Amino acid sequence: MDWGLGAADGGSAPAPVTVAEETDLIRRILTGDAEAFSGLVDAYMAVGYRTAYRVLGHRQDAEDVLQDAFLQALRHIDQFEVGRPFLPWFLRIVVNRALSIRGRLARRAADELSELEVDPSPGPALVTERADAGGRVRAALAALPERERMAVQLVELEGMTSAEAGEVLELPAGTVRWLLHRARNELRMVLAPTQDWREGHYEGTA
Amino acid sequence: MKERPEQEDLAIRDALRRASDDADPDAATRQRVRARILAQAGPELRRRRMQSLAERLLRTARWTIPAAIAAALVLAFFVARPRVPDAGMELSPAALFLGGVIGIVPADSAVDAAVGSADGTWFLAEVVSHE
Repeated sequence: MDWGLGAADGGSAPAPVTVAEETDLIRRILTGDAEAFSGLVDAYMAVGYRTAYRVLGHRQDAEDVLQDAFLQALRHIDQFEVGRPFLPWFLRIVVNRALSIRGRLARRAADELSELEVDPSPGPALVTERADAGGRVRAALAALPERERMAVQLVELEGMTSAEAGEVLELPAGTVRWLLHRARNELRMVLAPTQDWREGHYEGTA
Repeated sequence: MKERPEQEDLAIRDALRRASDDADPDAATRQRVRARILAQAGPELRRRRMQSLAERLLRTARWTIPAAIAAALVLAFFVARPRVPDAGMELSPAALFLGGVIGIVPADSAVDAAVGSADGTWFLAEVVSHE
């Protein structure tokens, strides 16, 4: 499956990595092959970054999480079952790390906000108040409960199957499908009042 | 006309993708993060290389050490194998004595080696014949 893999030089993206190629890379990494590790970084940096960024909403934090996740994956690569797809295992590290950092940041922010007595939650009202369509869609996504949002991001945005997303989120595939169902209903409800988020809306084709 | 839920889901998916396409890292970010990751991974990769080398040596040693011991024993057997000295061959007193002890050199030659040729006859006559 092609997850829109990133390139090291920022130019053309490298070819998608098959499970066989991944297995070869991981076997070589187990013996300390730096070139193989670099290949793995090139292959999964973009998807790892996107996932971290979507959880955290902050580029610098996403970079830090990505770096930590790759190093953690390298340290625990012996625990990875060679022959299985690497991406769900790797993204689980990314997601756990990102959620942990976000929790820490949220606690810090809540402490600061409680001092100012401000309500930090965006809520549906804010969603409909957003001026631009993209902002409204992003806000609608952000307003979803954590697990539903993660399921949407992994399945709808990264193109994973429910089983793969379940592996990342440590949930059964059926639960992921149920989360997706709920998320879609909520997104439909929130976005229904306006139609400007639809493709071609401004051209009058919607 | 009301849209079917599946079509609406697809429209929402497209909207989500369009709204989230700014999540990709730019080229500069990729290069920077990549360099940081590879630099920090250096020590761990070196540790793994050393570990792998040690494991390979250990695996090799499992058969090379017994093989080397076996080869040494075989070599020692052939090199140190007692040989009957040829007639008229010059031997050191120590070799003559040892040869006498293990029975490949005549007893009088061994005794000569131990006590000297002058006393050899006396030694054989007095000491050995007493028993």
